[in-house]
Amino acid sequence: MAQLLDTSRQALVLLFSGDPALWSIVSISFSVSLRAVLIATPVAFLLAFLLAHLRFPGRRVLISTFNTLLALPAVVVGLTIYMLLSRNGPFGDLKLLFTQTGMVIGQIVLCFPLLVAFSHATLQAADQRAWETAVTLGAKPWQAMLTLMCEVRYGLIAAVTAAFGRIIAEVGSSMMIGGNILNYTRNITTAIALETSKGEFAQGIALGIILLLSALLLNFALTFMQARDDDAL
Amino acid sequence: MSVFLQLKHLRKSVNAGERLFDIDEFSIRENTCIVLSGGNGAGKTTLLKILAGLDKPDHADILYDGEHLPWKLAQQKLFHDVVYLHQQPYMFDKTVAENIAYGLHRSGLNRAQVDEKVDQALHWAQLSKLATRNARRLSGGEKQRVALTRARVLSPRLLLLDEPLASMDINAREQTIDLIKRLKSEGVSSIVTSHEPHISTLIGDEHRHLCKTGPCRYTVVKPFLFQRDMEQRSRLSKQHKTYASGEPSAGLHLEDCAEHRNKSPVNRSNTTMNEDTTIPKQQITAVILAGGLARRMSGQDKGLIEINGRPMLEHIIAALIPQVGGILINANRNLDQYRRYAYPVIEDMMGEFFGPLVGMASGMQATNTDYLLTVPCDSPFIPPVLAERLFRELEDKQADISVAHDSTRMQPVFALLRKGLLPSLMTYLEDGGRKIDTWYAEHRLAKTDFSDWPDAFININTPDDKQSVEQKMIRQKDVHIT
Repeated sequence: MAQLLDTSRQALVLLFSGDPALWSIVSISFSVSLRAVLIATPVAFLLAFLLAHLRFPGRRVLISTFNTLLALPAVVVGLTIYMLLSRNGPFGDLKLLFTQTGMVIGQIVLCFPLLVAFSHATLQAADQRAWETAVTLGAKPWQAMLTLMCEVRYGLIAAVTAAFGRIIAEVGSSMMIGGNILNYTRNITTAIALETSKGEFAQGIALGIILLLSALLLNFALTFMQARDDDAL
Repeated sequence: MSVFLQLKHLRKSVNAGERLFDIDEFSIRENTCIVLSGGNGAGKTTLLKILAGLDKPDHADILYDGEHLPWKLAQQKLFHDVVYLHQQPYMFDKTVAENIAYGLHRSGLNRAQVDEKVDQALHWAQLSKLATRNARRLSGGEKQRVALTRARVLSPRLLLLDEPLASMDINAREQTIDLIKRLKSEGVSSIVTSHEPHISTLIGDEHRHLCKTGPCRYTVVKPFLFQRDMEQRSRLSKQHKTYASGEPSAGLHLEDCAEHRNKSPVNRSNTTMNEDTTIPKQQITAVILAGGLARRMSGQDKGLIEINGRPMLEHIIAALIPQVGGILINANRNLDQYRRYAYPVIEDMMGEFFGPLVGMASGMQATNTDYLLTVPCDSPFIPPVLAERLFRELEDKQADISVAHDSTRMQPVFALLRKGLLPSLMTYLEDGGRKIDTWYAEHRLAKTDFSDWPDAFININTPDDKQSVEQKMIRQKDVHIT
């Protein structure tokens, strides 16, 4: 118990002393995960919209597939992409293994099913009248789609938050694809894993606190935004 | 007023291939308000959504401005020219002003032009005070007004209003009706669906009905009350004004009829009636049910059969004039002859020759008064106390319907009904009901005794009846003269 308190104290000192190595790890984590979410979200929303509004053969199979992929383990994604990107793999020539781009790809694969499944559920439940009203007031289909998404924005934002939460906290795929290279592909989770194996618990705990705090901040921001919208009008 | 949109052979099925409707022809003219009635599930909303381009028909030949268009092209036109308003209008999660600006932003105007138009529209609909409120937080009536305004700023050619008056209080209704009327005065055509057919008297130029049952299954039925020419309309409105001002409606009477009234023996007996009765005469409209087939009279139109040289209808009108505020004639044949009497002639609003209930409903729909007195067209000895006695019994018993009784049996077509019964009657008819007794049984019924008027219910069914009635009438006249 005493050891835990001691390491926590050391962790706080690390956090507030502005240790450059620690903040480099944090920035890599956020940069990779934000890029992954930003790339995955528009495509996922569009696909979710089509799944919710078009009737085409194979639609239900696709929806079930994405729901199943929610349970995809990060290490399996890591393993698969590792094999694809490794020198002998089909995409070996791209030389993406052990790069941030490779990590981004892995995280896109991880968060895409979640984004599709959650935003599909939101759009499916959206009021049919929103779409009809937009169209009858002269909106083009793509404008009506944006209007509809704007109407259910809180549900969609929740989907993005959940997706971001999943990939910033995953360790399996980042470790395998990124390779945990200091100042390049070492992010919060892979660093925690490494420091723990070295017995350096203080830095591990410091990183863990940052992870939690960032999640807390993000959710506070969203809640306040929603509350402001509710009060302002 | 030219037809700008015409749909022919419009067919639509719902799941499992069940045919929802099959409409031969549906035309919409410029600057016309069509009231579309029909029961739940008759397809009113689906029809509107097809007209808005939001729902695809199984088949339709579409003529737009005289041009045959395939569905895809027609849909583009409809998106552009038609605005559909949901029964509960959808408000975007924005302010009232932003809601109204929604369509304008997408029509290629710049921001300043949009703002100006929105300001004008807010003023037009008296919504300026609500401009910055979130539209979702408004009351039902306010939402309806925002939705109407949001549609109006786009200057559509056709507005489709799905049950705009459902579940609204009186104030909100009046404001909404007022807006609909103003839209019409701006040259916008509209289709308004309603469960309450009488709103067609408030806003409709034409009335169509989607039926679920009977011979008109799932089709728009043609012979409609308010499909009348403009001339007839103005005559009706004049007539209503006359009722309202309390002048004797005989002012619009044809001369020969007025003259006849003075001579009428039945009328003379009117003097026996208490003059300062409290019955609200102006609030009673009589409908003479002359819409039957008269099979036993070899199809001769009973109301027009001459009794002692005058059509039976004249005898009846003469008896009714002192008793009621207005008279309607319900007929389906020989309309020109019936129109000679200068009283509004109304046709059955659904099908033809469906029986007296349809005639009653048509009558109820056409009047604005609180009570409807129904009499058949083949009983010339209408008691001068008919309306009064039926009314008193109705009030005494706090009943919905007061019906005459001759001590042995009920005379269901001699009845006084409250106007509020129309929705119930429409529902009954739409569900296929035709029997007068069954429908009466659903309501509080007051039986009014007329056993002291033995001749009241004599009716003419065969040529023999006619002769005996003529003799009886001559005898009565003699009694009155002596």
